[in-house]
Amino acid sequence: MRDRHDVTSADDAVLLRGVVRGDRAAFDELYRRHATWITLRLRRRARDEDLVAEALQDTFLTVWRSAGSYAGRGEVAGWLWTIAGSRLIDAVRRRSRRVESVGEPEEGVLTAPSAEDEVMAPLYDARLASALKGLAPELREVLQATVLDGLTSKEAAVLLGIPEGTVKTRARRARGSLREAMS
Amino acid sequence: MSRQWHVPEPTLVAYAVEDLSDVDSWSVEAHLVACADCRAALTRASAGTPASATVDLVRERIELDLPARRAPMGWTRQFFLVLRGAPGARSSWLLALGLVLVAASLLDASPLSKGFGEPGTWWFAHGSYVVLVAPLLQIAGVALSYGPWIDPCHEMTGSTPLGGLRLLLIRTLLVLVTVVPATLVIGLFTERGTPVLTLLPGLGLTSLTLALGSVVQLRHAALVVGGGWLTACVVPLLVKTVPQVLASPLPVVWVPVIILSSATVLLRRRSFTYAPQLVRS
Amino acid sequence: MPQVKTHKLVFGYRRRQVIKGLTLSFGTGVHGLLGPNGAGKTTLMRMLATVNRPDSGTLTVLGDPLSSEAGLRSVRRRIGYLPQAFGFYPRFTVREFVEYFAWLKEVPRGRLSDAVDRAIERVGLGERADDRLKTLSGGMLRRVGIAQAIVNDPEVLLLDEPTAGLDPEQRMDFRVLLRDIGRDNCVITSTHLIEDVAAACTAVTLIDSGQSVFQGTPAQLIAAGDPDCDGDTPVERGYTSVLRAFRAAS
Repeated sequence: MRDRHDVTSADDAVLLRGVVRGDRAAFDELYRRHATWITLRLRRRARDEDLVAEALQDTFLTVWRSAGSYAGRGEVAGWLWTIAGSRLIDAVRRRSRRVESVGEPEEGVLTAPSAEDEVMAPLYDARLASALKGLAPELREVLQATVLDGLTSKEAAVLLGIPEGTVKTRARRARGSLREAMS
Repeated sequence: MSRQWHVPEPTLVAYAVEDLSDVDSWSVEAHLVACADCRAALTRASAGTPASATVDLVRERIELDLPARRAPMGWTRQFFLVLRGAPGARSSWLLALGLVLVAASLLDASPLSKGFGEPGTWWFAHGSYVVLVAPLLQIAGVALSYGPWIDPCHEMTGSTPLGGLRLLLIRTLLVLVTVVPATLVIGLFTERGTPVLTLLPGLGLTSLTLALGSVVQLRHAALVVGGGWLTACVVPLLVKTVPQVLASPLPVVWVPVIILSSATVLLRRRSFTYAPQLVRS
Repeated sequence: MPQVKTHKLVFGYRRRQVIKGLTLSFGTGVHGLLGPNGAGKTTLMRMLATVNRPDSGTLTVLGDPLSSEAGLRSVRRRIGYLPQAFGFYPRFTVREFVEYFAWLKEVPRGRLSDAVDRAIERVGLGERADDRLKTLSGGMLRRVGIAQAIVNDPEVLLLDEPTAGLDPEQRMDFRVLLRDIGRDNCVITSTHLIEDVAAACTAVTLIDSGQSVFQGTPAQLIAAGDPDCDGDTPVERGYTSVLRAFRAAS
């Protein structure tokens, strides 16, 4: 009983260290705290319920097995989402028999920081919000995958089921039209 | 972890039932990563939604995937495990111990076999085989429970934190808890051993053995100390004088022996650190 | 920072010097320790396992020079060791034996049972967990030995001839386990089976008569191979060539 109390008041990083040592109570508490928001966020990226369940399960199994790889910096939630995102990609990959498209080599990798500067920082900026709202849905989903979720264009391509080249083109178009709307 | 701004309740609910625009959802998601309060509020708000059904379903699946949950090892199980790990505490040792003690107490109880004793001698009136052999059993038990010559896992224990002196002391304690109560009980029945008679020489000789064991091999230390005890007891009996060590074990003598020996063990503990007393092939 | 470092390590039995000034370092990965019989592999492993104290030189494990009692104790909590002569208590079950060593390694009681289960599972003995050790085959006993070595999730794992008695299939499983543990930890395994090194190790250390002959990757050892040297495989030829060159020079 004492353990239960300790667990509910411990912060996430402490719980993770418990998981490293095989502490089931710590793991259960982490799941209780984080499963819901991760599920909702996954559901907005993949409408297939099975896929979401699979990704969620893989995410927490990964946490159980390799909690030790959490570097101890930054929000545990952020680290969890990184895992969830890539587990979702894995699940989509497993599901689809589609041959992976190879991206055009001359295109630079979409870098998250600069894009984040453009979109994330003034998140509550009304002008930006309306600009985002005006974006075509297929451009918005590319922005969501590459900017908000920090996926590489290759991963975004897998998740969205479009060629990598298209991801890059759409990301460029999205940023272009945002810039236009903001100026 | 309080922040000035939290996602308003209606927005959270809308997000939970997935009825929020993409752009607003992004703000919520960005905030959720950084705010434990809103994550908790969201978890509450999403009760009964499809998302929470997924969470419950996956919890059950994970439960199956993780290794079966096991209760922490109980104290009794741990005690018997540790007991059985000491080679000197194996069943053959316990059997031998029991046999020797039974034989000694039978001798004590029988008026016919008073060993050295003819009527009128000290031994006839006061002597006790149990008191004579109990310290020897303790020393033998210690020597038989630690060391490369007796413990097949000695080398492996030597690379563990409890290996070395700690393990030796734990096993010594196990020997004492088997021998001492047995001799105390027998002494009460035969009325030939008082607790002082049983405890002092036993503890004294055991600690002396450990102290000597920090200099020479433990088994050799046990032989020397045990031999010394036998000599001190038996020689006076043979020449028909009263063996002082058996007749009146003086705390003034034994307590300093125990203290000095223990201090020696502590001061020389490094000689047990590298398991060896001889892991030398 | 390598997990294990030795500097001019010397050790001898009475007059006979077995380790003659070894300076080596072992970082994250799986290290194969090779050398002919009598090269001092087992003696070196014992010192790395903190079972024997070096006569001179320094040994640093997990950043600790092992000079204090407290340091040594905390290092011992974080290492695992399987000696070449693996002794066991025949009347213990697999689980009891691994539990005993978990206790010796001060694995906290609360998670001891789970750690024991996991270790037994990882060496593939889950089905035999409640069998007495005296009923197990030689290969299974080795795996029990490996289970006790990994029960505390060691950061430095020392295995002396761990594949002795394992059949080819078990050796394959064992290599997978080694690679798995070696991803984040330092694994040092001594072996006389050179093909084990080629298959499972990320680094090779070769010693001969107590001296260091070679430290590098398996590829470097292969590259050092003289095609005219004895040996059925490239690694064996590399081994023989390097050893021969060392002996010619000394």
